[in-house]
Amino acid sequence: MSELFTNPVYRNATITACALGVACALLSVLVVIRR
Amino acid sequence: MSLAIPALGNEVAAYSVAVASCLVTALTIGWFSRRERVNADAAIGIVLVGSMAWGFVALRIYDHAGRPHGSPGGWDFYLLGDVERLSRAAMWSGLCISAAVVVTLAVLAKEILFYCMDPELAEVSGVRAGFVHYLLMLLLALVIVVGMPLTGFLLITALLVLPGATALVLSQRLGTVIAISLVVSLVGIVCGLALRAGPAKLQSGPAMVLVLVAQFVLAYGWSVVRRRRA
Repeated sequence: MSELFTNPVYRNATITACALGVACALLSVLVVIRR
Repeated sequence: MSLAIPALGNEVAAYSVAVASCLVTALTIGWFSRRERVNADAAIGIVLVGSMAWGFVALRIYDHAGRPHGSPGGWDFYLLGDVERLSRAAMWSGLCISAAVVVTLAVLAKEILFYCMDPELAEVSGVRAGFVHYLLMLLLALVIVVGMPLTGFLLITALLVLPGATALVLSQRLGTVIAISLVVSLVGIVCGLALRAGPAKLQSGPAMVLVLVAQFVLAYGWSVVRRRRA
């Protein structure tokens, strides 16, 4: 788990993935409530 | 395209072309799904298989031409993603596009939510239904493009369905649903990346999706138990 924040490759991926996760979480609510 | 236009052979140009083609694909699906002759599911099916088939053919043509701009990577990268191959350009575009999506949703929250809950009522109430419809398609396409290196384009759909579906199983209040969806999404992503960085070196896309599915199963089971007790 600590490698996510110490290894630069995983750190960059974690930051990007978390930003993407926030966008996806909001869009997923719209996707599932959409008629 | 880089065979016809050599200037498109660098990484940034290739990424820009990928973004542009995804936007065109999204608009095509959006256009079809607003017409009554082809429904949305059929439009997605047609455009998805057409795009995939063109991808296979284009890769074969590129191989046949001797790969003048280097290796495009294996199919497993496009289908399942690989965080270790996430470039700096992909990272920055991911951050900027994610921020732009969040800001757009925040600014137009009222119109978008109204349209998603009841498109007909929203339209007669003055919401620009066509604009919101195509905007949602564009936002989804952008998120799919930037998410592709992380989860692959087969599994990015899981990130666009499972957090919301899990949250909706647990609550009916919009604020709570959004909060749960955010937590579920971030837990899935961080646990998936931790499994990738761990000794087992699992692929990031499948690992994230399995954590998201596990959360959905737990939430569904808990909601069933809660309903029986009530």
